[in-house]
Amino acid sequence: MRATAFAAVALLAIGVAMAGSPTDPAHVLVGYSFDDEMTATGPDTFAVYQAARGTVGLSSTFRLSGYRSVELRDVAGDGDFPELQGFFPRRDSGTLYAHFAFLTTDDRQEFNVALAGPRRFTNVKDGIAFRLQARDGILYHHSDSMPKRLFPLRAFVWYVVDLAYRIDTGTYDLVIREEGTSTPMVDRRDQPNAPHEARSAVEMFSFIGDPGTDESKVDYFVDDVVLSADRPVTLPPFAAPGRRRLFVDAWLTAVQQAGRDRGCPRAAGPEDFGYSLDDLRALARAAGADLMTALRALPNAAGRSPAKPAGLGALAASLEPVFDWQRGCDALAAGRVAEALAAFEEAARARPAGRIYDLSAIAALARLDRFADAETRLDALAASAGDDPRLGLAAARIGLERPDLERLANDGKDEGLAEEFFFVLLHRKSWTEAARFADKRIERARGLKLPYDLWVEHAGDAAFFLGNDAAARTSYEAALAARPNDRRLLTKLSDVLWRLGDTRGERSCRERVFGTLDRAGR
Amino acid sequence: MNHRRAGAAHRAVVLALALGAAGGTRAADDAAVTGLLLPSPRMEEIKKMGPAVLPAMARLYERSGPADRATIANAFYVLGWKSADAKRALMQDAHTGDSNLRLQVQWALGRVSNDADVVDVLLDNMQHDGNPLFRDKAACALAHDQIHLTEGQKLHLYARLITSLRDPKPQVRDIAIKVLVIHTGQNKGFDPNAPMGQREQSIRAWEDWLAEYRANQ
Repeated sequence: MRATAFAAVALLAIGVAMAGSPTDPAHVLVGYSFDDEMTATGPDTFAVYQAARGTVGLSSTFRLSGYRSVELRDVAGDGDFPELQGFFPRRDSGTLYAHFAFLTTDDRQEFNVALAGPRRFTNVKDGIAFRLQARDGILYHHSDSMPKRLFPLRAFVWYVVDLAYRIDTGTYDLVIREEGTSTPMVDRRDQPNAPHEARSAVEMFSFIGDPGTDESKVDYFVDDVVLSADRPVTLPPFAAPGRRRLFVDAWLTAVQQAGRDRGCPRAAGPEDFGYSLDDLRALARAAGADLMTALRALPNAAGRSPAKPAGLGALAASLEPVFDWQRGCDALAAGRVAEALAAFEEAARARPAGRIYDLSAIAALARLDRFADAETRLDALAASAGDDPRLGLAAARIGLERPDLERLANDGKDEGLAEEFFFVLLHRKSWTEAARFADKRIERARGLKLPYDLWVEHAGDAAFFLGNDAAARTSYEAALAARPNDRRLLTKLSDVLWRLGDTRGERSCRERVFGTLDRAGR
Repeated sequence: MNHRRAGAAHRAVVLALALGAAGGTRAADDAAVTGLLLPSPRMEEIKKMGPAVLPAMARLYERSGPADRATIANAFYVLGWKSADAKRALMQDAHTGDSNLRLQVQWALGRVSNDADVVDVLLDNMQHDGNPLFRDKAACALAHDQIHLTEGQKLHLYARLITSLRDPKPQVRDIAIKVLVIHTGQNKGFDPNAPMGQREQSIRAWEDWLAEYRANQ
């Protein structure tokens, strides 16, 4: 609430700079003054990365407004860079307005600011749309695939940036002022975006040090970040700090989606198809193509591409397993399950590291009532990829196809069957039954002196959905003792602590995943 | 067993490099590094050695045959660390007729150095090598593996690539525009097989772009 009020004030302040920019709080996507309590990290706000020796944190040393800003400090030669990365709902049309301020303590050191889309920080459509780069004492903006000189930077001066990015045309207006002055130092209109591409979407912002040479020792400050749209935006309220729905709800939705969807599972990235980025680069290189061509040929995360992309040349042969998989998915969707399975098997043989082929084959085997084969496949996958949350979803899919699952699961011996049954219970929202079943599995494992932390976690899941937050907390904490760095468990525990009113605990768990701006909290 | 042997080799290299730093024998360094690199490199262990391992790798390269040189060149590629020693060693084979070695060297060069002569040798290979395969792979190296270039060096690369768009060989024009597309995300309507007049129109657009790029530096 305070962030929205702040954003409105900030937008009013910048309204003079960018004619037509919305000043209505209903248009605001994100707004951070870093002065209030709205500094919670999370999937719907921002994440803080301070790998290696660089740091990111709140500071009152310099600030443009209020009493705090964010300080980013890079360390040369440490092999990484610090980053403040923010998230907002994707904008793929209309105009996005961005407002922020920065101050550097050393004008010679490099730092970068960017707005990017789903292809993240690459110089392509839906990658970087806007980029500012400070380098060797000069501020540049990257437009039309080149760094364009703006002006010599001065240390210890706040620069206030206002951007109006027209997504449909891929152009922007850029105005930069020194603090306290009304005449802009820069007023560039209709600049092509970084890759010179129309309709290049955006969904994240990033403030970093030096991503390339690792030579920067920059210490710079960022304040008053506001992003808004040219039309009102409807954002669900925050369910908890940093997220608009609880982590566990997102996970349950995925479980239930897996039960409803009898088609192929969704691919998460090139690794799912058995290709590392280095593999893809090498294959593309051998075919005289580039990495982006190869990446574009892969089906996107939201589903499958309609057909094999044209113009791949020799690269098409290297990506044949991907196209086999697509063929299989089409067959599965049309009910030609045996044909689908054959295609998945062919893809898996050609690219054994591709997890999506096995996950899809499991779905097909289950639909063919070949449950034993599906489970064998799932066990093999679990041996190599036990931390993949989709294994639970795959188990649910087998279970949902199996007519006698409940009887088999209650026979007790088979862990895989038991987990399938648990996920089926979640899918049916049979929380009480799920809780009883998890408890039974814990007792059994204890008796046999087998590891049971997974069933403790599941007991926590069932308790959470039943509304028994205290029991869920006990279970998640116990499971976490066995798997202290498990991100999924940390986010679930964060949820339950939030519901219990333990804001300190909630924050501690969440920040182990998304980082923190609070230096004392590290 | 393998794990234990790897651990022993790692310790030997650490010890050898420590001795080297304290005035110990270069031969001890080289023997230990050889153990990690050949017959197939153990990259994680080599990475742990840090850039101090590079001079020994370059010496090993220089006294090896083509097959081992190709292996070591690939190790330089994977490490991606700037090194004058590695550049000096690799440049000796920038024109070798050994297919495998040439490809590994061309790919590795841009990852060990951003010196102008490295970019130039790759551009020369891309444009003038008698073997189309070497031309093509030199272009791939220019597209993907010039990881240390400064803005000024990028400008030099783009200028020469744009010049190559006028090459009489269609393949050279084709690979030159591909490299430009990969670096900039744009092709400015250039079709390597279009009639000369049409190509010239696009090349002039590229030249205007380059002039603006240069003016901004």
